[in-house]
Amino acid sequence: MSENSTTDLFNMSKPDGEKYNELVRQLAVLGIKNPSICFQCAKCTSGCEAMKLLELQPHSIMASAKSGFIDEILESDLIWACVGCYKCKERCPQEMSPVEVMFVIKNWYVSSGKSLPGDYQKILQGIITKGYIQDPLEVLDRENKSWNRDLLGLPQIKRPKDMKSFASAISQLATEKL
Amino acid sequence: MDKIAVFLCHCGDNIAATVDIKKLKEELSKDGDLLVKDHMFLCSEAGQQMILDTLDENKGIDRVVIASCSPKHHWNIFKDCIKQRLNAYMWEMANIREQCSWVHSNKEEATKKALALIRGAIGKVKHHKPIGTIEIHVNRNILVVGAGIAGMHASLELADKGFHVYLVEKEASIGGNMTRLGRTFPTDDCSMCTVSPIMNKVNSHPNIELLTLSEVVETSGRPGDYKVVVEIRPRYVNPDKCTGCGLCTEKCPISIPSKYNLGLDKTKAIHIPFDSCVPNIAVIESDVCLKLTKNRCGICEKVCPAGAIEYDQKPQRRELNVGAIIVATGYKQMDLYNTEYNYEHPDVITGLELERMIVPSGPTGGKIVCPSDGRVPKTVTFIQCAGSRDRRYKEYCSNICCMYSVKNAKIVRAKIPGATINMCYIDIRAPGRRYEEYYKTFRENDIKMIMGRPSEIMETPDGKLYFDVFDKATNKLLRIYSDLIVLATALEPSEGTRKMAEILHLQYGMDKFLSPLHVKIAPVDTTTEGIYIAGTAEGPKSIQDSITDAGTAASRAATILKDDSTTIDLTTAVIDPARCTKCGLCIEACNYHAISIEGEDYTVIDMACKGCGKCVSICPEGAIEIRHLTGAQLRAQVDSILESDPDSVIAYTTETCGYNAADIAGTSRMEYPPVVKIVKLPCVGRLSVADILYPFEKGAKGVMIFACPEGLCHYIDGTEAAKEKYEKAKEILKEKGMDAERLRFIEILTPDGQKFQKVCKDIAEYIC
Amino acid sequence: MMKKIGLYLGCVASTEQYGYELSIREVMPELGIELVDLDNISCCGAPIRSINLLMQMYMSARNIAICEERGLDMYAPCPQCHLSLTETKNRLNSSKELREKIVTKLKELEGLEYKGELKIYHTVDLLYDIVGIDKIKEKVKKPLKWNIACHYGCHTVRYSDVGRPDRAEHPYKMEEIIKTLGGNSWDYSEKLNCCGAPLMTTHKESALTKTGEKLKAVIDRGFDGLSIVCPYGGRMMDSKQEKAGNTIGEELSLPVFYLTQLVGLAIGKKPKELGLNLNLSAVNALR
Repeated sequence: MSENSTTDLFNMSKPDGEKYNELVRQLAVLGIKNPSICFQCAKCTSGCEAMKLLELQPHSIMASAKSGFIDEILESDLIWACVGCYKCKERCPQEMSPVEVMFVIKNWYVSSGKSLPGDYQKILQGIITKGYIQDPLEVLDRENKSWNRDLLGLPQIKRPKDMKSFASAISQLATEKL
Repeated sequence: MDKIAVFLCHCGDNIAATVDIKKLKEELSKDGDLLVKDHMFLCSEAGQQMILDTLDENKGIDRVVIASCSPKHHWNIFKDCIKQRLNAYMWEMANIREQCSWVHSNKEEATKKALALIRGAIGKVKHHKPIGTIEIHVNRNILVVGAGIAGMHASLELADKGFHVYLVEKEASIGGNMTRLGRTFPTDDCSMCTVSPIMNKVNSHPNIELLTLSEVVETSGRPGDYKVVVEIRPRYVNPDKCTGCGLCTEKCPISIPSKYNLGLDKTKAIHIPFDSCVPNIAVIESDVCLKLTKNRCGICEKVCPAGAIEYDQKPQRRELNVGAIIVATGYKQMDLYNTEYNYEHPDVITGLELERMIVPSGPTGGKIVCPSDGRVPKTVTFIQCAGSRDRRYKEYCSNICCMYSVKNAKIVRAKIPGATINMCYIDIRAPGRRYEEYYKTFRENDIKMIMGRPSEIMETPDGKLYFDVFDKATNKLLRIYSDLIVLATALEPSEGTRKMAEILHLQYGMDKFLSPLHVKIAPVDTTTEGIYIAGTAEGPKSIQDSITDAGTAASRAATILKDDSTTIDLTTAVIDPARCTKCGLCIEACNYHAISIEGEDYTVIDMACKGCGKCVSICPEGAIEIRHLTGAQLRAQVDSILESDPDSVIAYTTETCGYNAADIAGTSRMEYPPVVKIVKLPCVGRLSVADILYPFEKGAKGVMIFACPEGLCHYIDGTEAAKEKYEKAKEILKEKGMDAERLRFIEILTPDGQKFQKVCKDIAEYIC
Repeated sequence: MMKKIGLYLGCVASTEQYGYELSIREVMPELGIELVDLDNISCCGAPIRSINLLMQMYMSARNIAICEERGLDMYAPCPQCHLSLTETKNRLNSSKELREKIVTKLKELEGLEYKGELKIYHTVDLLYDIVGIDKIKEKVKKPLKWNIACHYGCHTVRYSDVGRPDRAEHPYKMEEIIKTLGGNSWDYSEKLNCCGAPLMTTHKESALTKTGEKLKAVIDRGFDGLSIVCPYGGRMMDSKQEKAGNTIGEELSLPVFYLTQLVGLAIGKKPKELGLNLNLSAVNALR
């Protein structure tokens, strides 16, 4: 990677060869191909479910990743707009996976200690303490009558028998690298 | 036996970078019976001169070993060189490039393996005996399969040279896909105007025998003497009486979608194939004709003024005797149903369908219209790479679509001046002569080029086509409503191409197109002598390139058939009458009927023998040998490899698929562990159970057998024969309490370098 | 002969969309599927892919291990769960590194044995491939007679590399089931459009906009109702249908059913038995 010989003149940033190599390595562990194979046909962006409303451009993320400008992606809000519909991965003619490249980079964002956007904090809390994203809710039917699992005759939900071990396993994985 | 000369090639640094040539020289020179030399490029004139000089200066040398690249490349050059001084077979090659230096990056290990391979070759060559030649008769007729532009051109070239050519065509008319086109790039001439005179020439050439409605169903024989069975479907029309007036077509009550016009309009059960077809004779589609299926109607017979209708015609079979075969069976467009392209919608069409609309005599009279309702489109969009360059469909680029779409966009612009024309592309590939200039003239038109691809083609509730596409150039997400969408559909091998591959046992790639012997320097040869390929059967290409192929194939065919007879080497089987007990197992096993009984003795018919060695593996008395790979040679090669490097897996490999796959792993630099040492055989059918177990007796860590896949064996059923022996050998290993997992049987295709790499890695891991 | 299968509902069906669970428990036994409830289970990890992929894989793996220990195949009525489970199973089968990491932790910390050999089904392929159209046809007593649009949802058909219940382009199994139930269904351009559910975590308004646009497209196509196979999708298109309409400024009214609710109606079950009172869309408008 031509780190020192290339500079982005708009913001004076340079490609990060280490981050690029690490990205390629982590993707390979997951069985995902090297983003450099992308030949920029933009089919992913044409079909991206988050493009129209939120202006996410998966092909542009791939181009930045390929060129080593990964910090930009890390700091961008756009990657959190990805819906995870997998259309880009499914239709890519070159077996690329912008959605999963974004998952990995979002993971990096989180593991750097920054606060979780949106409801993610709540969801993670729910999982660690209850085993599910939330406790079973009371719901209203069309006539505004209130129902819960017991009233409906549904069995109680089953959670991890040993919540401590479960939570411990999860927390340990928070610090492990792919 | 005197001394052996060993020549080591550096091949620039292709070999020398990972194989220590100096060390090899040192080690080998320790053996006083070897004279070891090295050269930068042995295949060069200087290199060959060195070989000749060495042989001249050392009259005590009577055999040679060459350690260099794969025999596939220069075996003939070295053979021609050596045979100027010694018998043409008193030498052996060791492949230390594709199967060594290119796939092992550790210099020590690569050198160790190279040494073992070279010693293996030396061990083998010590048992070589001179092999002579024999003169055999060839049949100078030639078969060309497929009468498209490539097939027709090849036929004319050969016919002009004086050869009698059988031109076999599946359809009722010759001409192929080129007759369907409007104009051709980069000259914009009318396609039919270019191809029509060629069709007429073919039809009237005294040396060309045209067989339409015909298909090759069986072949047998050998190069120079092939027997081909052709099935001829009945036309149900007498070609000598039919005048091509078309009255039958007018009156026929049965309408069917026109296959020639790709479903854009209808034709009748009896029809003239197309305007200016050759021969210009009607044909009946038997499965929809009322008379032929239900014995009703019969109108065409009643109205034909020439009395040409003959319902009682029957299919015929003809046996042709030819010396060479050229396969030019062409391409078709891939099927895009059930994809994101919404091809089900009538206004989403392929490139060929647009060509039919452009042609003035086509189904729309030369007008560009929306097939759904016949209206003139206000917006036309070309979408490139539909199915090509796409790992979900076809990985390859279909070569001609950029150019033909550029051509057609210009034509559409001229035909509909007010229309909006868009083209969604990834790249525009214009690599040929005058192509870039052609592309420039295209850009002078008002055609919107969109640098991006849509994800899917949608339609509104009232059936209007639209799609979203991101244009990288303007950074805009565009929604485009298009009346007509033209997909540059990927090309794939035609049914005929796939069938011929099966019937002639031709090699083909992962993309199913036919494989040439060498992509660059033998582009029309195949791995089978006497069979050549031309045109799009070999891969998507332009008309120019198809014509070039055709001329080359014609030249190649003419070369092997230039005289009435040809001389062949006696690399065939030979029977020792002293050992032969006349059990007859060899006669039963031989697929080529190459063993016969002459008086009291069993003998081999050299001109029929392929030298595959299947008979050798069958003979219970060891009475047959193939001259170019005797049992002694084979065992000596295994012995020498294992002596040099006991940590070896002996890989018996067919010299076609298996060896090629190993070479492809080499050219692609796919690394695998150096324990694997290849021992080349003409066919794995040569292996007896004893041969398979022999390396284990000598301490090998494993034995692999690389065979061509069942059904694709070049000697028909060598793979099955070998598999049987392999199973038996496995049982014996188990009985002896040995690890049968160390013996492996792998079926592999030529292009599968990846599989070769994987199985070598697997066995290396297993034995460690 | 009843086929026993481990029922893995996932978070959304277990904690909110109870109607779908009711219909599954009501309908499957009638079609020869015996549902076995699993102990010790948890979320599959799909909601936290963006947070930590290892956590997600661990969570999917533990649920697979739990079901395997019972000797059963798995039925996940939620496609997000189904994808997470299938993907994890595939990844752990192809990467020794990942497998070791996850499987050792499962054993050491939770005493779970992971093999990764069971089959994982979803409602679409369980009904189409295992139960079969013929068996369903046998059971139909009250043919539906309505025009039902099929919404497979992103994760039911993508990504096809790991094997999905139906194909990615022009999936057809749900339409075939609807037709077998007596209803009518056909392909439409917006069939593969995303409902926006996962966006609720970070971009609620955009999520509801997508839901609204999807519903509007189905309504404009002239369908009487919508059949879904994802509890999360149902949460958006049924429970939040009104909100979605408000977000895009349209009055939306479209009956939205989970597929087994429709199957239940056709084989003669009562609406309450199928939890249809809990559907907030106008499901009672269709008779």
